[in-house]
Amino acid sequence: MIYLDNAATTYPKPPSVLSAVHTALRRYAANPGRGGHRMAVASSRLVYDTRTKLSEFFHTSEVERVIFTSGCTASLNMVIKGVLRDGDHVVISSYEHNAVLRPLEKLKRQGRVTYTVAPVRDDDDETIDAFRKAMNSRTRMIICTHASNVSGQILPVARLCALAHANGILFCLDAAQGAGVLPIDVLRDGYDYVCCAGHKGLYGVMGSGLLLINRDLPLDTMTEGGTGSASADPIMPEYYPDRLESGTLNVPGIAGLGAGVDYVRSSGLDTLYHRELHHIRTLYRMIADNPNIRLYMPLAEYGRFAPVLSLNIEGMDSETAAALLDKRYHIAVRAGLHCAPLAHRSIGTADIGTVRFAPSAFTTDEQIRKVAQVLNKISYSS
Amino acid sequence: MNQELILFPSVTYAMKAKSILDKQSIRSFLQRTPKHTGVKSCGYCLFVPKRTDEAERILRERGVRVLGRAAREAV
Repeated sequence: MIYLDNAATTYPKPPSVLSAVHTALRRYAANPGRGGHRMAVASSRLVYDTRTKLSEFFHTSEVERVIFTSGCTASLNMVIKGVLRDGDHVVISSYEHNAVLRPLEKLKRQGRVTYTVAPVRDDDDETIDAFRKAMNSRTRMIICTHASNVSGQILPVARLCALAHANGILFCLDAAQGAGVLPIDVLRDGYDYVCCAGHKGLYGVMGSGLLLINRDLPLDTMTEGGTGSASADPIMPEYYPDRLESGTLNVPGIAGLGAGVDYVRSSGLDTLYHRELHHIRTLYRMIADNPNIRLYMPLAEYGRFAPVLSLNIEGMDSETAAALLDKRYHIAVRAGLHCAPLAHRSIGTADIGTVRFAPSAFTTDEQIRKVAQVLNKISYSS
Repeated sequence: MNQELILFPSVTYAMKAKSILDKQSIRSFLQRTPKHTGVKSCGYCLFVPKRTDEAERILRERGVRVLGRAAREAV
């Protein structure tokens, strides 16, 4: 199988990740932060060490503001529902995922918040200007994806964060597609909240995610329960991470995430990004002259695009094309709207969707050449 | 009675404190907070047999949440 659905979740995982998950289930299988016996302490140590590793990787101010979640969607919901108050207004980009759009739409339909979608332009200055125009006196937060999961375009998130702060507005970065692929420096760029999937570019397993909080910003809880701390108190602790981590942590997932981050660090973030974007550029060049393949973005420039390529084959809907690639050629890709209808509206594919190709660290040049050959072949026979 | 236990609200703070003290070459040992300390709910503490005052000062300076001090054994 040629797996190019890595924007959904990376596959395969590095052997070190599989090993870490397995080891966690055998040796660190007690409930962390609860008991005082040796295995409970060992489990707590594993969780703490992973927290520290992630704090260093993303350059956060304090290790306790690294919150483990079940995924990026959970993290985004925690921020949206934990920060916003009745009457607040939010600005989001036209590339946002349903993990941002749906929670906001729900709050909007409840009459609690309003939001404005700022159109993303090819020119960063124009994008910044669009966000500026979308803000009003009630704007409490900007939420913006690091890179589109459909077009791959990288948004000027550090500049947008600066714009937000200059206007007394919070900034939340959706790093689902950025973490592990694009540099994220929480302290340098000042993001208030960063939401990450653990199972994509960080090579952890599904069910793992992160919320990074830059400062001691208050965040209301979405879930209340046992934390192993202040147990006599009927309300949730105010301190992080306990405030946002009630219930038993996903220790095997956290162990895998730690090993995944080690893998990214040892491989080199920049090396991985350049290799994966090289694959996208190679694929693009091999199909760009084909009149039966419709591309929606220019050749991906380094620093301007994440390694994602969306396309359609003339005369074939995206789901049919993906099914054909899978059944006949064992090429795994994602078709449809990719849970990002706003992004598809932006590039004019809301009705048809696209077929999306996303490589990982394990994609080879040979695989990319094979995929290009197959695309050319089926496009001429469709 | 020496107050050799430094008390924390959670295991994360206790482990953070231990990491800081390790770097200062101050030995410490993680354990559950004993009942005799008067802390009414679950928590963790560090047993710091030597340089305990210095350890507490360093931790407070580093912003670690410290609940207080206690003797290792019940009086």
